[in-house]
Amino acid sequence: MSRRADLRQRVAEATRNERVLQAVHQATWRKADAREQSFAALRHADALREKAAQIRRHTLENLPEYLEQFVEKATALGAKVHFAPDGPAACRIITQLAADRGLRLAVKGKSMTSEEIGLNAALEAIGVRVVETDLGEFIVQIDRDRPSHIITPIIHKDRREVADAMARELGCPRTEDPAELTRIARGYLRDIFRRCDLGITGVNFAVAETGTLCLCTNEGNGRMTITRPRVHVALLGIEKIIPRLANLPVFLKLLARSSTGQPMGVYTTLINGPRRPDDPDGPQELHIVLLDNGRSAILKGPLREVLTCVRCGACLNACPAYRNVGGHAYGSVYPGPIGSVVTPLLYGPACDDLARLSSLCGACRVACPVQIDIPALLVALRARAADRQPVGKRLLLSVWRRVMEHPWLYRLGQAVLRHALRDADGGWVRTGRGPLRNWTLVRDLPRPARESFRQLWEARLRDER
Amino acid sequence: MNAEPCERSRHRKTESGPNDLAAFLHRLRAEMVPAERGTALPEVSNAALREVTWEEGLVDRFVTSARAAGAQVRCLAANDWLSAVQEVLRGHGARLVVAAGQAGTALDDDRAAALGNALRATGLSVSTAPNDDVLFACDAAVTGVAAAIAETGTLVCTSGPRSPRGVSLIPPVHIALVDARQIVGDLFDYFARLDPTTLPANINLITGPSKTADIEGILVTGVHGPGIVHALVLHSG
Amino acid sequence: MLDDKLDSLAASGARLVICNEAACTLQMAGGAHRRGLPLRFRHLAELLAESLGLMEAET
Repeated sequence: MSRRADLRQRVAEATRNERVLQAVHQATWRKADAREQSFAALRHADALREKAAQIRRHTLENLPEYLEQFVEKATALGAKVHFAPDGPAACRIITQLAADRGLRLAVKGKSMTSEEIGLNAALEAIGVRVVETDLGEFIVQIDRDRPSHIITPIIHKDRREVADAMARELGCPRTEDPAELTRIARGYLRDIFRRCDLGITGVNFAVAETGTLCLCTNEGNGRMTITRPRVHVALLGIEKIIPRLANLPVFLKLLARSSTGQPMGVYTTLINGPRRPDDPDGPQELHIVLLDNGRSAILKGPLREVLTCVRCGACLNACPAYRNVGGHAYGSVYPGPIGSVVTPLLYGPACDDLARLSSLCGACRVACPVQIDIPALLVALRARAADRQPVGKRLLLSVWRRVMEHPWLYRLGQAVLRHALRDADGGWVRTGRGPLRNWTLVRDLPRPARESFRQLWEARLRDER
Repeated sequence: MNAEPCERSRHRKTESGPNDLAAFLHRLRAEMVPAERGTALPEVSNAALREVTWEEGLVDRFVTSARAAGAQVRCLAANDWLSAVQEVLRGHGARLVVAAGQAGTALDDDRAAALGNALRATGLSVSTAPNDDVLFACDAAVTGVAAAIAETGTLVCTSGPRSPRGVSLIPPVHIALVDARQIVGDLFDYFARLDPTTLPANINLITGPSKTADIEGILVTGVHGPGIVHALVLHSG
Repeated sequence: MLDDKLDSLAASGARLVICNEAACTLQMAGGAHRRGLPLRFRHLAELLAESLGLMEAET
C-alpha cells in the first residue's frame, strides 16, 4: 500500500471516530484559549518570544562549541556523558548500562525522545520492566495504546476508557471519577517508585555554561524518577542545549504558558550531576545520553529552524487540522504542525505527505513561543517532495500553473466554468457534476459573475476618461 | 504494539565507528556553513522583559501568585512561626512529621530541633533525619526554602546534607517557612543570583501542589508530589 | 475545518466578512450558503469601491 493511501486511510479512520474527535476538539480549543489568555497577561510576550527565538538560533549556529562546553561541565559535576549517533546506538548504550548493573525495574518520566527511539521495547527485551509514570503515559501503557498529543497523551480518551483500563490491568474496583482514578494510580506508582533502580527521563533544556539539566513537570513523577533510583539516565536530542543559566528564565516564562496556560509549571528541577557525598538521597550515577538520530543532518540544511522547538504543544492546540483529525492520524511520535515538519526530516521521504496535512493558515506560527515559521517550512517540504508526486498530479499542477501565470487563460477558464454552471439555480450549484462533485459534498458553489471585479473596474476607468 | 507507519523507514545508516562525540563534533563543525553562524547571543540583561519591577510589593505579589497556583499562604510575625506550624499540622491531623532543617533558611537546624521537641511534647512523632520508610509514611514535612519568587509564587528548595530531595516531594503535605526577605521579584532575579560555580546537585522550583489534567482535562491535585502546599511568610521586626 | 470557521463566524454576529483570498472566500461563502447563514463576503477592494460610490453594491 502506498504511503499516500496510508495517510488518507488514517485520516478517514480518524474522522469516523466521533467520540475521539469530540474530545480532541474540545480539549484543543480549551488549551488554545488558555494559552491566549495567559500570553495576554504577560507584559512583554512578543519581546520574550523574540529573545527566545534568538537564543535558540544562536545556539544552533554554534552547536558544536556549546555541546563541547556542556559535556565538559556536566562531566565535571560527576555525570557520565554518552553520545549516540542514532536510535539503535542510544538503546544499546542504555541497555548495556542497565545490564552491567543488573538493573531490573525502570521508571520513566515523559520523554518523546525515548519513544522516537523505541527505548521501552529495547529495555524490555533484556528483561527490564519499564513503567511509565506520567499519568497519561501510564494509562497509555497499561491500555496498550499510543499517545496522541505531545503534552496530553490521552487527549483522545474519556474517563470510561481510563476506568476500564485501570480496573482491568490493576485489578482495582472500577471507578470513573478522575480524582479517584488518579489516587489509585498514585498508590500503584508509589510502590514502584520505592522499588525502582533505574530512572529514565527526557530533558527540557540542557545548559552549556554549567552542565545543568532542566526538567519541567506538573505531577512530580519527573522528580521521583530523578530522586528514587540509584541510576538516572537523561536522554536528550543534541538540539536541547541553551548557552547560559541566565537564559533559562526566558524559556521558563514561555513554556508553561504555551503548554497549559499556567504562568509556571509546578516543578522545575535543575539537576547538577548525581548525588554529592553529603546528600542523603539522589541517584548515585547520572548518565546523560546525547542523541543525534538525524538532527545534525537537519542542522546542516535550510530547515534547521525546526530544531529550535521547545516541545510545548502550542501548535497542536492551535491547528485546525490537528483539532479535526487528532494525533493518531499523523502516524508519528511527533504529531501536529511541528510533527508534520520534523517527521519527514527525521524519517525520510516516505512521510512526505504529512506536509500536506495543513491548510497553511499560520495559527501555529502565531502560537509558537520561539517563532518557528512552520507554514514556510511546510511549503519548503512540499517543494522538495514535488518531484515525488504521481505523474497525474504533476500534470494537473503544471496546467494550473499555466492558467495562473496567464491572465487570458484564467479568464477563459472562468468563462468555461460559467458556461458549465449555467443551469445553476439562483446562481448557486448544490450538486456538482464530474470534477466538481467533491467540492459540493459539504458546500455550495457560486456561479462565476459575468464580469470580474477587474473587468468592471477597468470599464469604469475607461468611462471616466 | 503495532508499529508506527513512520517508525522503521529510516534511510540513514549508522555513522561509522564508535559513539565518538569528538569525531562527531569535528565533522559537524566542518560541515556547517560558516557564513550562517552569525546570530549573536542576545544580552543576558533582561531589564526590559521583567514581569515584576523593583518597586512592587513583593510579599503581596508572592502571596497572590502562590495562591493562584493552589498553595495556601499565610503571613505572620517571625516569632509566631512555631505556633503557626503546629496549627497547620493540627488542621491536617498529622501524627508523623518530618522537619528538615537547612542552614541559611527560615528552618535552620536549631529551629528544626526546636520544632521536633515542641511537637513531640504534644504527642507527635518527628524525624529530623528521615529514612525512606519515614518519608513514605509521614503525614507532613516542614522545610525552609532557599528563595521564593514573587512573579510566579514559587518556592525554591535545594538538596543538602539534612534536606533530602524527597522531603518536598514524597509527603502528602508540604509546609514551607519563608522569610519575607528571601522573596525576589522576578524569575530573572532568581537566576541572576545563582552562582554557576557552586550549584547544589538538585534545585527545585515548586509552584503549588502537584497536579494533572490528563483525564478529560479535569484538574486533580496530589498526583505524585504533595497535594497540599503551605507557605508561611515570616516578617521580622 | 469549514464547520469550525462557520461556527466562529456565526458566533461573532458579523453580517459582512472581508476576505482577500479567493479560494478561502469560495470555501466560506459556499459553506455559509449551504447552511443558510446570513453572511456576505467581500474582497477589501470591492468594499472600498462600494463605499466610495464607485461601484454598485450587490446584495
